[in-house]
Amino acid sequence: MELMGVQAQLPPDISPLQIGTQGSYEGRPFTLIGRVRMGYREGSWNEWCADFGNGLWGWVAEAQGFYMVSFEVEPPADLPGMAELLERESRPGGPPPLVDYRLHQGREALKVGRSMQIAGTRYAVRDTKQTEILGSEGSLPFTAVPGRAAISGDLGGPGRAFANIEYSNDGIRLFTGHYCTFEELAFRDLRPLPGWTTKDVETTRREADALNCPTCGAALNLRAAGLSMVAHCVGCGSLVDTSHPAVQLVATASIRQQGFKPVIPIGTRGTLKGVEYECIGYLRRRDNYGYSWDEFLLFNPFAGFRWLVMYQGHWSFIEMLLEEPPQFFGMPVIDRQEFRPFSVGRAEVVYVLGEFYWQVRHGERTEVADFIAPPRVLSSEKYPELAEVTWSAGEYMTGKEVHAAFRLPGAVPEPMGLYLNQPNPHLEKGRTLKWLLPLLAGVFLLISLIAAATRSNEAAFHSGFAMSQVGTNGAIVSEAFELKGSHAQAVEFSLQAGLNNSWLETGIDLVNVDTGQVEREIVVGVDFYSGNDDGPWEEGSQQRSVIVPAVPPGEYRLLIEPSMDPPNPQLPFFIGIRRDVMVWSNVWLGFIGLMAYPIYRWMRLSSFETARWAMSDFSPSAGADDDDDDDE
Amino acid sequence: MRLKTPVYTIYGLLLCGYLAVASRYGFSLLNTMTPRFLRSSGAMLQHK
Repeated sequence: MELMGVQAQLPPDISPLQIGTQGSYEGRPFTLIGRVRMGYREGSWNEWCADFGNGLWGWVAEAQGFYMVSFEVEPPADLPGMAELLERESRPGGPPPLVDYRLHQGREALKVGRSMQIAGTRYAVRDTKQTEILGSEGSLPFTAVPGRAAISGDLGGPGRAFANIEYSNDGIRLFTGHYCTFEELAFRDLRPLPGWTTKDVETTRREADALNCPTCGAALNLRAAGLSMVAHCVGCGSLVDTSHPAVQLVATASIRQQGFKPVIPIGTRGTLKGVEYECIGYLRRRDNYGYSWDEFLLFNPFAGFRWLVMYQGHWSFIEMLLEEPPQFFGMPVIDRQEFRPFSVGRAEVVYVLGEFYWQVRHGERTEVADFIAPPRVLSSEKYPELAEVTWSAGEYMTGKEVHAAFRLPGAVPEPMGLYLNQPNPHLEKGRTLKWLLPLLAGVFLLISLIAAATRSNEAAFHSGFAMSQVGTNGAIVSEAFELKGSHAQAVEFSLQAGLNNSWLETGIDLVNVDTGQVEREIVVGVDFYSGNDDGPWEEGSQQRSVIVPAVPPGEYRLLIEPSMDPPNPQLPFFIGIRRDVMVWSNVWLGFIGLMAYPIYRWMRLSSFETARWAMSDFSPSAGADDDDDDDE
Repeated sequence: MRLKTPVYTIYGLLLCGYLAVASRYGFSLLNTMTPRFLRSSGAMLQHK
């Protein structure tokens, strides 16, 4: 281990880490003892040397708010170039290979997307770049010569496995470990960050630390120094490459862009999900249908980068994922939740303001795909010139929440239309129905069964009559009978007659013997027809019943007025009465009444989802329209 | 929105209560719903 001091001018950055910062990885404490600043064409990052004690040291790479902890291991013999390296080492004294040859070897071996098996884990190359050492400080296990070139490839595997392979003049080096978050590494003794952990703002800076716009000379006040790869100059509006201390002009400002004020002004701070973020960048993008949306880049030196995406008043809070989510029948899965494909298309950058952690340009195009599990959304982005796909996950937010978080002035604009991951409001409203409806339905069913089981259903009267019995008053008077019971009850009247091709109707007055009053007037009739045309047929019924509700107990007679066509005075008909019967219509109607609100809620929920999926590239109607076209 | 859940709960319990009472005393919701002039003629009473 060598104490390197500070070699070469290290560019300013807003890393919360410093030499002396302590942390913990998989339960093992470490202390950061040295730093190497690595640069590449489009930016730079920190590699911190971590001392785990007992002679064990590793590396903590810090980039875009993500942390990669790794340890150097022996490269496998089947790694491209290793056989030659081992053979050369076995024959010492020969000339070393040219650096360019080693870099060429690295580029060939580390093609993006290539799969490799390392120590039983299958990795895929995610990113390859030519790097150089910009500077170093502290204690390091090797001499970090500024300008040393290498080809460095980052690999990812399942379970956030991380590997890095480096081809340089020093040979081929392999590092394996994991992607980690700031919280997981439990850092302490962090570097004071003006404006974040201290209220003081740095008022004096070394001249060499200041970055100035190459067009107008205005100071570039980077909010994510060391992480910003491109920034917009507030003086002249030019887009400036800030990935290296020698800033370069990327693009001059368009007249249309100058004076544009995004909803969340650059530099505004707000607290979302308990973390304070500063809005450092703004993008407007447009898809291939001409619809545009706004993207706000948020930064916190400890949490890293997040995004707020806004479309017609609908917001989503987005964070990048460390790895591609697993797929289940073509649907990505996160936290055991499947995300359905919603849309695919292209996105083009039309406005750029502020700072970004990649070299964003006007007109930059990506292929995007969205998958939803409202209120969550998963998005994949693929740059045409790269084989790499980046994934991000988001959650819906309302304009009110965003305006409150950032204390934005003015009224909150009402959202227009539906959004892909907008939560279904009827799902929330009907959430308690999931348990309430079965509970109430269960109680209802139980009461129905108990009621049916406790009815007497007792025969109270049964007698036969004929039309010839009709008296001078035009009615037949029955014998008296008793309806027993202590309270009103439902009574069933049934009429049965063996007729054919005729009808019989009886008007029955239920007369209380004690009071002489007609308690109920009932009409019940039967009709039955049969014949033989192309085969035997029959229609109607020779028996019918009616239920008379709430009849008080007591002694009664029947006054029966029959009518029949064609008349048959001798045809017998029978009237039967059962007391205390179950009124099943109460059960059916009550059940319909019970289901009315849930059915209404379900219709509203379905209607919302139908409207949502009508906007999707994967809606069922989109498939049906295609089929119709095929039929034509 | 929060009001709807207790309202529906009360409504459901009332339906259950009505079912219990109506079954015991022989009331008929269908009979209650039919117009009076039809009820008095018995024309709209339930047919099996």
